[in-house]
Amino acid sequence: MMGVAIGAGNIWRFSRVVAQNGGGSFIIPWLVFLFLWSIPLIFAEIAMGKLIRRAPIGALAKTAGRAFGWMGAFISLVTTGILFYYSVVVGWGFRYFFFGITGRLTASTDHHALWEGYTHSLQPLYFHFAAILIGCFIIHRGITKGIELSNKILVPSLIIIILIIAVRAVTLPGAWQGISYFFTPHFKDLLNYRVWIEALTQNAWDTGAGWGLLLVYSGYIHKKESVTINGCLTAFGNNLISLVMGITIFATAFSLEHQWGIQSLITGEGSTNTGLTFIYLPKLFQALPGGSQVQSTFASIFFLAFAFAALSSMISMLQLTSQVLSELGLKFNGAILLTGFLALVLGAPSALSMAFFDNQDWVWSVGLIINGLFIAFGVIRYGVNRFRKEAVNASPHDFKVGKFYNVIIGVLIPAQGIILIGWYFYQSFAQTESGWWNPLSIYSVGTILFQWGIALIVFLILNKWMVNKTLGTSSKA
Amino acid sequence: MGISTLATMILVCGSVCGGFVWMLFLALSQNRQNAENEED
Repeated sequence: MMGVAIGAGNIWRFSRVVAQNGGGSFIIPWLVFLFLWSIPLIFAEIAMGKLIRRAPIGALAKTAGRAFGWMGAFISLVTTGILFYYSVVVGWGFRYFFFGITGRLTASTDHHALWEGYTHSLQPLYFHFAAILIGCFIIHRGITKGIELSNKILVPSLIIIILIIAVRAVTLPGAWQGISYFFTPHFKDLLNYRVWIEALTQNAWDTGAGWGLLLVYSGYIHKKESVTINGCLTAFGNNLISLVMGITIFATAFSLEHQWGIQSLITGEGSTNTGLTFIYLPKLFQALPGGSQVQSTFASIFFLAFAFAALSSMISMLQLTSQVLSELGLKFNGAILLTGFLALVLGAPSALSMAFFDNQDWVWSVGLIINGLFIAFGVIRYGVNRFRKEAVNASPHDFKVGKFYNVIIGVLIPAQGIILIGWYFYQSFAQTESGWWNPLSIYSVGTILFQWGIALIVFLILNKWMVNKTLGTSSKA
Repeated sequence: MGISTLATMILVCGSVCGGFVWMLFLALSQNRQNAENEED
Protein backbone atom coordinates (compact mmCIF):
# COMPACT_ATOMS: atom_id res chain seq x y z
CA MET A 1 0.00 0.00 0.00
CA MET A 2 2.97 2.29 0.44
CA GLY A 3 3.44 2.14 -3.33
CA VAL A 4 0.03 3.80 -3.70
CA ALA A 5 0.73 6.59 -1.25
CA ILE A 6 4.29 7.47 -2.22
CA GLY A 7 4.16 9.44 -5.44
CA ALA A 8 5.41 12.52 -7.20
CA GLY A 9 3.74 14.76 -4.59
CA ASN A 10 6.28 13.71 -1.95
CA ILE A 11 9.13 14.76 -4.19
CA TRP A 12 8.00 17.71 -6.25
CA ARG A 13 5.39 19.44 -4.14
CA PHE A 14 6.22 19.06 -0.44
CA SER A 15 9.52 20.98 -0.34
CA ARG A 16 8.36 24.02 -2.25
CA VAL A 17 5.12 24.25 -0.23
CA VAL A 18 7.19 24.08 2.98
CA ALA A 19 9.43 26.89 1.69
CA GLN A 20 6.45 29.02 0.61
CA ASN A 21 4.71 28.64 3.98
CA GLY A 22 7.41 29.41 6.47
CA GLY A 23 9.43 26.20 6.93
CA GLY A 24 8.83 24.78 10.41
CA SER A 25 5.60 26.79 10.69
CA PHE A 26 4.17 24.63 7.92
CA ILE A 27 5.25 21.19 9.06
CA ILE A 28 3.51 21.51 12.45
CA PRO A 29 -0.02 21.86 10.95
CA TRP A 30 1.02 19.34 8.27
CA LEU A 31 1.59 16.86 11.10
CA VAL A 32 -1.74 17.78 12.73
CA PHE A 33 -3.68 17.07 9.52
CA LEU A 34 -1.98 13.70 9.15
CA PHE A 35 -4.08 12.70 12.17
CA LEU A 36 -7.21 14.71 11.36
CA TRP A 37 -7.59 14.00 7.62
CA SER A 38 -5.25 11.40 6.15
CA ILE A 39 -5.15 8.59 8.73
CA PRO A 40 -8.93 8.55 9.45
CA LEU A 41 -9.72 8.49 5.71
CA ILE A 42 -7.12 5.81 5.02
CA PHE A 43 -8.72 3.69 7.79
CA ALA A 44 -12.12 4.28 6.17
CA GLU A 45 -10.89 3.25 2.72
CA ILE A 46 -9.10 0.10 3.87
CA ALA A 47 -12.01 -0.93 6.12
CA MET A 48 -14.57 -0.25 3.36
CA GLY A 49 -12.52 -2.22 0.83
CA LYS A 50 -12.21 -5.20 3.18
CA LEU A 51 -15.88 -5.07 4.15
CA ILE A 52 -17.46 -4.67 0.69
CA ARG A 53 -14.72 -6.08 -1.61
CA ARG A 54 -15.84 -3.97 -4.52
CA ALA A 55 -14.47 -0.92 -6.38
CA PRO A 56 -15.84 2.52 -5.35
CA ILE A 57 -19.25 2.22 -7.10
CA GLY A 58 -20.15 -0.96 -5.23
CA ALA A 59 -18.54 0.24 -2.00
CA LEU A 60 -20.54 3.50 -1.91
CA ALA A 61 -23.76 1.77 -3.02
CA LYS A 62 -23.37 -0.76 -0.18
CA THR A 63 -22.43 1.72 2.54
CA ALA A 64 -24.40 4.85 1.60
CA GLY A 65 -27.27 3.13 -0.23
CA ARG A 66 -27.99 2.12 -3.83
CA ALA A 67 -29.08 5.64 -4.68
CA PHE A 68 -25.50 6.82 -4.09
CA GLY A 69 -23.51 4.57 -6.41
CA TRP A 70 -22.87 7.66 -8.55
CA MET A 71 -20.63 8.95 -5.76
CA GLY A 72 -18.39 5.91 -6.25
CA ALA A 73 -18.40 6.55 -9.99
CA PHE A 74 -17.27 10.13 -9.34
CA ILE A 75 -14.48 8.90 -7.05
CA SER A 76 -13.36 6.54 -9.83
CA LEU A 77 -13.55 9.29 -12.45
CA VAL A 78 -11.43 11.70 -10.39
CA THR A 79 -8.68 9.10 -10.00
CA THR A 80 -8.99 8.12 -13.67
CA GLY A 81 -8.76 11.81 -14.62
CA ILE A 82 -5.54 12.01 -12.62
CA LEU A 83 -4.27 8.81 -14.29
CA PHE A 84 -4.64 10.45 -17.71
CA TYR A 85 -2.04 13.10 -16.94
CA TYR A 86 -0.08 11.23 -14.26
CA SER A 87 1.28 8.85 -16.89
CA VAL A 88 2.79 11.95 -18.52
CA VAL A 89 4.59 12.71 -15.24
CA VAL A 90 5.93 9.14 -15.13
CA GLY A 91 7.21 9.68 -18.67
CA TRP A 92 8.92 12.95 -17.71
CA GLY A 93 10.69 11.11 -14.88
CA PHE A 94 12.02 8.38 -17.16
CA ARG A 95 13.05 10.89 -19.86
CA TYR A 96 15.04 12.92 -17.35
CA PHE A 97 16.60 9.73 -16.01
CA PHE A 98 17.89 9.09 -19.55
CA PHE A 99 19.01 12.74 -19.80
CA GLY A 100 20.93 12.05 -16.57
CA ILE A 101 22.69 8.85 -17.58
CA THR A 102 23.68 10.23 -20.98
CA GLY A 103 25.24 13.26 -19.27
CA ARG A 104 23.00 15.71 -21.13
CA LEU A 105 21.51 17.05 -17.93
CA THR A 106 24.79 18.03 -16.33
CA ALA A 107 26.24 19.27 -19.65
CA SER A 108 23.31 21.64 -20.25
CA THR A 109 23.91 25.34 -19.62
CA ASP A 110 20.23 26.28 -19.84
CA HIS A 111 17.88 23.89 -18.03
CA HIS A 112 14.89 26.10 -18.73
CA ALA A 113 15.51 25.76 -22.47
CA LEU A 114 16.06 22.00 -22.10
CA TRP A 115 12.70 21.64 -20.33
CA GLU A 116 10.87 23.91 -22.78
CA GLY A 117 12.41 22.11 -25.75
CA TYR A 118 11.40 18.74 -24.35
CA THR A 119 7.81 19.68 -23.45
CA HIS A 120 7.27 21.34 -26.83
CA SER A 121 8.41 18.24 -28.72
CA LEU A 122 6.63 14.92 -29.33
CA GLN A 123 8.85 13.12 -26.84
CA PRO A 124 6.47 13.47 -23.85
CA LEU A 125 3.87 11.66 -25.95
CA TYR A 126 6.19 8.70 -26.61
CA PHE A 127 7.15 8.43 -22.95
CA HIS A 128 3.49 8.73 -21.92
CA PHE A 129 2.73 5.78 -24.23
CA ALA A 130 5.60 3.79 -22.76
CA ALA A 131 4.45 4.50 -19.19
CA ILE A 132 0.91 3.31 -19.96
CA LEU A 133 2.19 0.16 -21.70
CA ILE A 134 4.44 -0.72 -18.74
CA GLY A 135 1.55 -0.10 -16.30
CA CYS A 136 -0.92 -2.22 -18.33
CA PHE A 137 1.61 -5.04 -18.63
CA ILE A 138 2.09 -5.07 -14.85
CA ILE A 139 -1.62 -5.18 -13.97
CA HIS A 140 -2.23 -7.75 -16.72
CA ARG A 141 0.13 -10.09 -14.80
CA GLY A 142 -2.28 -9.95 -11.85
CA ILE A 143 -2.18 -8.86 -8.22
CA THR A 144 0.57 -11.22 -6.97
CA LYS A 145 2.83 -11.53 -10.02
CA GLY A 146 2.20 -8.02 -11.27
CA ILE A 147 1.30 -5.38 -8.70
CA GLU A 148 2.81 -6.97 -5.57
CA LEU A 149 6.00 -7.99 -7.36
CA SER A 150 6.47 -4.58 -9.00
CA ASN A 151 5.90 -2.80 -5.68
CA LYS A 152 8.34 -5.17 -3.97
CA ILE A 153 10.93 -3.91 -6.45
CA LEU A 154 9.86 -0.27 -6.87
CA VAL A 155 9.25 0.76 -3.24
CA PRO A 156 12.48 -0.61 -1.65
CA SER A 157 14.51 0.69 -4.64
CA LEU A 158 12.90 4.09 -4.21
CA ILE A 159 13.66 4.16 -0.47
CA ILE A 160 17.30 3.10 -1.00
CA ILE A 161 17.80 5.74 -3.72
CA ILE A 162 16.21 8.46 -1.59
CA LEU A 163 18.44 7.53 1.36
CA ILE A 164 21.57 7.65 -0.85
CA ILE A 165 20.64 11.13 -2.08
CA ALA A 166 19.74 12.24 1.46
CA VAL A 167 23.11 11.11 2.86
CA ARG A 168 24.91 13.06 0.09
CA ALA A 169 22.76 16.14 0.77
CA VAL A 170 23.22 16.30 4.54
CA THR A 171 26.99 15.79 4.25
CA LEU A 172 27.41 18.84 1.98
CA PRO A 173 29.12 21.83 3.60
CA GLY A 174 26.56 24.21 5.11
CA ALA A 175 23.74 21.67 4.79
CA TRP A 176 22.85 22.04 8.44
CA GLN A 177 21.69 25.63 7.86
CA GLY A 178 19.11 24.38 5.37
CA ILE A 179 17.92 21.68 7.75
CA SER A 180 17.69 24.25 10.52
CA TYR A 181 15.60 26.53 8.25
CA PHE A 182 13.36 23.57 7.39
CA PHE A 183 12.53 22.99 11.07
CA THR A 184 12.43 26.56 12.38
CA PRO A 185 8.87 27.71 13.12
CA HIS A 186 7.81 31.35 12.95
CA PHE A 187 4.92 31.71 15.33
CA LYS A 188 3.24 34.51 13.38
CA ASP A 189 2.94 32.08 10.45
CA LEU A 190 1.24 29.57 12.72
CA LEU A 191 -1.54 32.13 13.20
CA ASN A 192 -1.95 32.48 9.43
CA TYR A 193 -4.95 30.47 8.20
CA ARG A 194 -3.38 30.09 4.73
CA VAL A 195 -0.56 28.02 6.22
CA TRP A 196 -3.12 25.67 7.78
CA ILE A 197 -5.09 25.39 4.52
CA GLU A 198 -1.91 24.61 2.55
CA ALA A 199 -0.91 22.03 5.18
CA LEU A 200 -4.29 20.29 4.90
CA THR A 201 -4.10 20.39 1.10
CA GLN A 202 -0.62 18.87 1.06
CA ASN A 203 -1.62 16.08 3.43
CA ALA A 204 -4.81 15.35 1.52
CA TRP A 205 -3.02 15.14 -1.82
CA ASP A 206 0.16 13.29 -1.00
CA THR A 207 -1.01 10.46 1.28
CA GLY A 208 -3.45 9.02 -1.24
CA ALA A 209 -6.35 9.37 1.21
CA GLY A 210 -9.64 9.63 -0.66
CA TRP A 211 -8.30 8.48 -4.02
CA GLY A 212 -10.18 5.16 -3.79
CA LEU A 213 -6.93 3.30 -4.54
CA LEU A 214 -6.48 1.83 -1.06
CA LEU A 215 -10.15 0.85 -1.16
CA VAL A 216 -9.53 -1.24 -4.28
CA TYR A 217 -6.29 -2.84 -3.02
CA SER A 218 -7.95 -3.68 0.32
CA GLY A 219 -10.52 -5.75 -1.51
CA TYR A 220 -7.76 -8.30 -2.16
CA ILE A 221 -6.25 -8.59 1.33
CA HIS A 222 -6.99 -11.41 3.77
CA LYS A 223 -9.82 -10.80 6.26
CA LYS A 224 -7.33 -11.14 9.14
CA GLU A 225 -5.07 -8.42 7.71
CA SER A 226 -5.03 -5.26 9.77
CA VAL A 227 -6.82 -2.02 8.98
CA THR A 228 -5.30 0.31 11.54
CA ILE A 229 -1.71 -0.98 11.47
CA ASN A 230 -1.59 -1.05 7.64
CA GLY A 231 -3.27 2.34 7.49
CA CYS A 232 -0.83 3.97 9.90
CA LEU A 233 2.14 2.28 8.24
CA THR A 234 1.06 3.69 4.88
CA ALA A 235 0.45 7.20 6.23
CA PHE A 236 3.60 7.43 8.37
CA GLY A 237 5.74 5.84 5.63
CA ASN A 238 4.47 8.33 3.08
CA ASN A 239 5.10 11.33 5.33
CA LEU A 240 8.52 9.98 6.28
CA ILE A 241 9.49 9.98 2.60
CA SER A 242 8.21 13.58 2.31
CA LEU A 243 10.30 14.62 5.32
CA VAL A 244 13.46 12.96 3.98
CA MET A 245 12.95 14.61 0.58
CA GLY A 246 12.31 17.96 2.26
CA ILE A 247 15.50 17.70 4.32
CA THR A 248 17.41 16.64 1.18
CA ILE A 249 16.22 19.54 -0.96
CA PHE A 250 16.59 22.19 1.75
CA ALA A 251 20.07 20.95 2.68
CA THR A 252 21.19 20.92 -0.96
CA ALA A 253 19.61 24.27 -1.82
CA PHE A 254 21.11 26.01 1.20
CA SER A 255 24.50 24.40 0.80
CA LEU A 256 24.94 25.17 -2.89
CA GLU A 257 23.10 28.48 -3.19
CA HIS A 258 22.81 29.72 0.41
CA GLN A 259 19.66 31.76 1.07
CA TRP A 260 19.07 32.18 -2.68
CA GLY A 261 18.33 28.49 -2.82
CA ILE A 262 15.34 28.88 -0.54
CA GLN A 263 14.28 32.05 -2.36
CA SER A 264 14.20 30.07 -5.62
CA LEU A 265 11.71 27.68 -4.02
CA ILE A 266 9.52 30.53 -2.79
CA THR A 267 9.31 32.84 -5.79
CA GLY A 268 11.87 31.70 -8.37
CA GLU A 269 12.12 28.88 -10.85
CA GLY A 270 11.61 26.28 -8.10
CA SER A 271 8.23 27.72 -7.11
CA THR A 272 6.21 25.31 -9.28
CA ASN A 273 6.20 21.51 -9.27
CA THR A 274 7.72 21.19 -12.73
CA GLY A 275 10.07 24.14 -12.24
CA LEU A 276 11.45 22.67 -9.02
CA THR A 277 11.95 19.19 -10.43
CA PHE A 278 13.05 19.78 -14.00
CA ILE A 279 14.76 23.18 -13.92
CA TYR A 280 15.91 24.04 -10.40
CA LEU A 281 17.08 20.61 -9.16
CA PRO A 282 19.15 19.83 -12.31
CA LYS A 283 20.96 23.14 -11.68
CA LEU A 284 21.67 22.03 -8.12
CA PHE A 285 22.96 18.64 -9.32
CA GLN A 286 25.26 20.51 -11.67
CA ALA A 287 26.71 22.40 -8.71
CA LEU A 288 27.52 19.25 -6.72
CA PRO A 289 31.23 18.84 -5.94
CA GLY A 290 33.08 15.85 -7.45
CA GLY A 291 32.90 16.41 -11.21
CA SER A 292 30.47 15.56 -13.98
CA GLN A 293 30.44 11.79 -13.32
CA VAL A 294 29.25 12.31 -9.75
CA GLN A 295 26.76 14.96 -10.84
CA SER A 296 25.30 12.70 -13.55
CA THR A 297 25.07 9.77 -11.16
CA PHE A 298 23.10 11.71 -8.55
CA ALA A 299 20.89 13.37 -11.17
CA SER A 300 20.12 9.98 -12.75
CA ILE A 301 19.26 8.19 -9.53
CA PHE A 302 17.10 11.11 -8.39
CA PHE A 303 15.00 10.96 -11.56
CA LEU A 304 14.85 7.18 -11.36
CA ALA A 305 13.42 7.55 -7.83
CA PHE A 306 10.96 10.15 -9.12
CA ALA A 307 9.85 7.86 -11.97
CA PHE A 308 9.52 4.85 -9.63
CA ALA A 309 7.44 6.84 -7.12
CA ALA A 310 5.10 8.05 -9.86
CA LEU A 311 4.94 4.63 -11.57
CA SER A 312 3.95 2.77 -8.39
CA SER A 313 1.03 5.19 -7.91
CA MET A 314 0.06 5.08 -11.59
CA ILE A 315 -0.19 1.27 -11.51
CA SER A 316 -2.79 1.49 -8.73
CA MET A 317 -4.79 4.04 -10.76
CA LEU A 318 -4.81 1.71 -13.78
CA GLN A 319 -5.93 -1.12 -11.50
CA LEU A 320 -8.80 0.98 -10.10
CA THR A 321 -10.16 1.98 -13.52
CA SER A 322 -9.79 -1.56 -14.89
CA GLN A 323 -11.58 -3.00 -11.88
CA VAL A 324 -14.46 -0.52 -12.15
CA LEU A 325 -14.90 -1.41 -15.85
CA SER A 326 -14.65 -5.10 -15.03
CA GLU A 327 -17.35 -4.81 -12.34
CA LEU A 328 -19.51 -3.02 -14.91
CA GLY A 329 -19.44 -6.13 -17.08
CA LEU A 330 -16.19 -6.25 -19.09
CA LYS A 331 -13.78 -9.17 -18.83
CA PHE A 332 -10.73 -8.06 -16.82
CA ASN A 333 -8.30 -8.25 -19.75
CA GLY A 334 -10.74 -6.29 -21.88
CA ALA A 335 -11.05 -3.75 -19.07
CA ILE A 336 -7.25 -3.37 -18.97
CA LEU A 337 -7.16 -2.88 -22.74
CA LEU A 338 -9.93 -0.27 -22.64
CA THR A 339 -8.31 1.56 -19.69
CA GLY A 340 -4.96 1.58 -21.48
CA PHE A 341 -6.53 2.81 -24.71
CA LEU A 342 -8.46 5.60 -22.94
CA ALA A 343 -5.35 6.63 -21.02
CA LEU A 344 -3.27 6.70 -24.22
CA VAL A 345 -5.81 8.83 -26.07
CA LEU A 346 -7.15 11.09 -23.32
CA GLY A 347 -3.70 11.57 -21.75
CA ALA A 348 -2.18 12.65 -25.08
CA PRO A 349 -3.38 16.31 -24.84
CA SER A 350 -1.66 16.62 -21.43
CA ALA A 351 1.53 15.22 -22.96
CA LEU A 352 1.44 17.82 -25.73
CA SER A 353 0.18 20.92 -23.92
CA MET A 354 1.26 22.20 -20.51
CA ALA A 355 -1.89 24.39 -20.35
CA PHE A 356 -4.08 21.30 -20.76
CA PHE A 357 -1.97 19.44 -18.19
CA ASP A 358 -2.34 22.29 -15.67
CA ASN A 359 -6.10 22.44 -16.23
CA GLN A 360 -6.53 18.71 -15.62
CA ASP A 361 -4.30 18.87 -12.55
CA TRP A 362 -6.48 21.70 -11.14
CA VAL A 363 -9.84 20.06 -11.92
CA TRP A 364 -9.10 16.56 -10.60
CA SER A 365 -6.86 17.55 -7.68
CA VAL A 366 -9.72 19.60 -6.24
CA GLY A 367 -11.93 16.59 -6.98
CA LEU A 368 -9.85 14.53 -4.54
CA ILE A 369 -11.27 16.56 -1.67
CA ILE A 370 -14.79 15.72 -2.88
CA ASN A 371 -13.69 12.07 -2.94
CA GLY A 372 -12.73 12.31 0.73
CA LEU A 373 -16.14 13.86 1.50
CA PHE A 374 -17.97 11.08 -0.39
CA ILE A 375 -16.09 8.36 1.48
CA ALA A 376 -16.92 10.05 4.80
CA PHE A 377 -20.56 10.32 3.59
CA GLY A 378 -20.61 6.56 2.93
CA VAL A 379 -19.35 5.89 6.45
CA ILE A 380 -21.87 8.32 7.97
CA ARG A 381 -24.79 6.72 6.09
CA TYR A 382 -23.62 3.26 7.16
CA GLY A 383 -23.42 4.49 10.75
CA VAL A 384 -20.06 5.76 11.97
CA ASN A 385 -20.10 3.77 15.21
CA ARG A 386 -21.27 0.60 13.43
CA PHE A 387 -18.61 1.07 10.76
CA ARG A 388 -15.91 1.55 13.41
CA LYS A 389 -16.96 -1.65 15.22
CA GLU A 390 -17.73 -3.87 12.20
CA ALA A 391 -15.08 -2.71 9.74
CA VAL A 392 -12.27 -0.64 11.29
CA ASN A 393 -11.89 -2.69 14.49
CA ALA A 394 -12.70 -6.06 12.91
CA SER A 395 -9.19 -7.54 12.63
CA PRO A 396 -8.24 -9.70 15.62
CA HIS A 397 -4.64 -8.54 16.08
CA ASP A 398 -5.15 -4.87 15.19
CA PHE A 399 -4.99 -1.96 17.62
CA LYS A 400 -8.49 -0.69 18.21
CA VAL A 401 -9.75 2.79 17.40
CA GLY A 402 -11.78 4.63 20.05
CA LYS A 403 -14.96 6.69 19.80
CA PHE A 404 -13.03 9.82 18.84
CA TYR A 405 -12.95 8.29 15.33
CA ASN A 406 -16.71 8.87 15.12
CA VAL A 407 -16.20 12.60 15.69
CA ILE A 408 -13.35 12.85 13.17
CA ILE A 409 -15.22 11.07 10.34
CA GLY A 410 -18.66 12.41 11.23
CA VAL A 411 -17.76 16.03 11.88
CA LEU A 412 -14.14 17.03 11.29
CA ILE A 413 -13.58 15.45 7.84
CA PRO A 414 -16.76 17.02 6.37
CA ALA A 415 -15.88 20.38 7.95
CA GLN A 416 -12.29 20.29 6.61
CA GLY A 417 -13.44 19.25 3.13
CA ILE A 418 -16.08 21.98 2.90
CA ILE A 419 -13.62 24.63 4.11
CA LEU A 420 -11.02 23.51 1.55
CA ILE A 421 -13.43 23.49 -1.40
CA GLY A 422 -14.79 26.88 -0.30
CA TRP A 423 -11.24 28.24 -0.08
CA TYR A 424 -10.23 26.98 -3.55
CA PHE A 425 -13.35 28.47 -5.11
CA TYR A 426 -12.94 31.77 -3.24
CA GLN A 427 -9.34 32.06 -4.47
CA SER A 428 -10.39 31.24 -8.01
CA PHE A 429 -13.21 33.85 -7.90
CA ALA A 430 -10.67 36.45 -6.87
CA GLN A 431 -7.75 35.52 -9.11
CA THR A 432 -8.98 34.19 -12.44
CA GLU A 433 -8.40 37.05 -14.85
CA SER A 434 -10.49 35.65 -17.69
CA GLY A 435 -13.55 35.24 -15.47
CA TRP A 436 -14.31 32.70 -12.75
CA TRP A 437 -17.17 31.27 -14.83
CA ASN A 438 -15.08 30.64 -17.97
CA PRO A 439 -14.93 26.85 -18.64
CA LEU A 440 -11.97 27.38 -20.99
CA SER A 441 -9.85 29.15 -18.38
CA ILE A 442 -7.17 26.88 -16.86
CA TYR A 443 -7.79 27.61 -13.16
CA SER A 444 -11.40 28.83 -13.03
CA VAL A 445 -14.33 27.57 -10.97
CA GLY A 446 -16.21 27.37 -14.27
CA THR A 447 -13.89 24.74 -15.74
CA ILE A 448 -14.29 22.60 -12.61
CA LEU A 449 -18.08 22.91 -12.52
CA PHE A 450 -18.31 22.25 -16.28
CA GLN A 451 -16.22 19.06 -16.19
CA TRP A 452 -17.63 17.76 -12.91
CA GLY A 453 -21.14 18.74 -14.01
CA ILE A 454 -21.08 16.68 -17.20
CA ALA A 455 -19.73 13.68 -15.27
CA LEU A 456 -22.28 13.99 -12.47
CA ILE A 457 -25.23 14.26 -14.86
CA VAL A 458 -24.09 11.12 -16.72
CA PHE A 459 -23.49 9.20 -13.48
CA LEU A 460 -26.85 10.21 -11.99
CA ILE A 461 -28.62 9.01 -15.15
CA LEU A 462 -26.67 5.74 -15.16
CA ASN A 463 -26.76 5.20 -11.38
CA LYS A 464 -29.28 2.36 -11.32
CA TRP A 465 -27.59 0.52 -14.19
CA MET A 466 -24.11 0.89 -12.65
CA VAL A 467 -25.24 -0.32 -9.21
CA ASN A 468 -27.17 -3.26 -10.66
CA LYS A 469 -24.16 -4.29 -12.73
CA THR A 470 -21.79 -3.98 -9.78
CA LEU A 471 -23.87 -5.48 -6.98
CA GLY A 472 -26.57 -7.39 -8.86
CA THR A 473 -30.26 -6.53 -8.85
CA SER A 474 -31.23 -8.57 -5.78
CA SER A 475 -28.56 -7.22 -3.45
CA LYS A 476 -29.87 -5.00 -0.68
CA ALA A 477 -27.90 -1.93 0.38
CA MET B 1 20.04 26.23 16.67
CA GLY B 2 17.19 27.66 18.73
CA ILE B 3 15.06 25.76 21.20
CA SER B 4 11.96 26.13 18.97
CA THR B 5 13.83 24.55 16.02
CA LEU B 6 14.97 21.65 18.18
CA ALA B 7 11.48 21.19 19.64
CA THR B 8 9.89 21.17 16.15
CA MET B 9 12.48 18.69 14.91
CA ILE B 10 11.84 16.34 17.83
CA LEU B 11 8.06 16.70 17.52
CA VAL B 12 7.83 16.16 13.76
CA CYS B 13 10.60 13.59 13.26
CA GLY B 14 9.71 11.82 16.50
CA SER B 15 6.05 11.49 15.54
CA VAL B 16 6.59 10.45 11.93
CA CYS B 17 9.67 8.22 12.38
CA GLY B 18 8.48 6.90 15.74
CA GLY B 19 5.03 6.17 14.35
CA PHE B 20 6.49 4.38 11.34
CA VAL B 21 8.88 2.20 13.36
CA TRP B 22 6.19 1.38 15.92
CA MET B 23 3.71 0.37 13.20
CA LEU B 24 6.39 -1.68 11.45
CA PHE B 25 7.00 -3.54 14.69
CA LEU B 26 3.24 -4.14 15.17
CA ALA B 27 2.88 -5.30 11.55
CA LEU B 28 5.72 -7.81 11.94
CA SER B 29 4.24 -9.10 15.21
CA GLN B 30 0.85 -9.44 13.56
CA ASN B 31 2.29 -11.37 10.63
CA ARG B 32 4.01 -13.74 13.07
CA GLN B 33 0.78 -14.25 15.03
CA ASN B 34 -1.22 -14.90 11.87
CA ALA B 35 1.38 -17.43 10.71
CA GLU B 36 1.32 -19.21 14.10
CA ASN B 37 -2.51 -19.34 14.07
CA GLU B 38 -2.50 -20.85 10.57
CA GLU B 39 -0.03 -23.52 11.71
CA ASP B 40 -2.32 -24.38 14.67
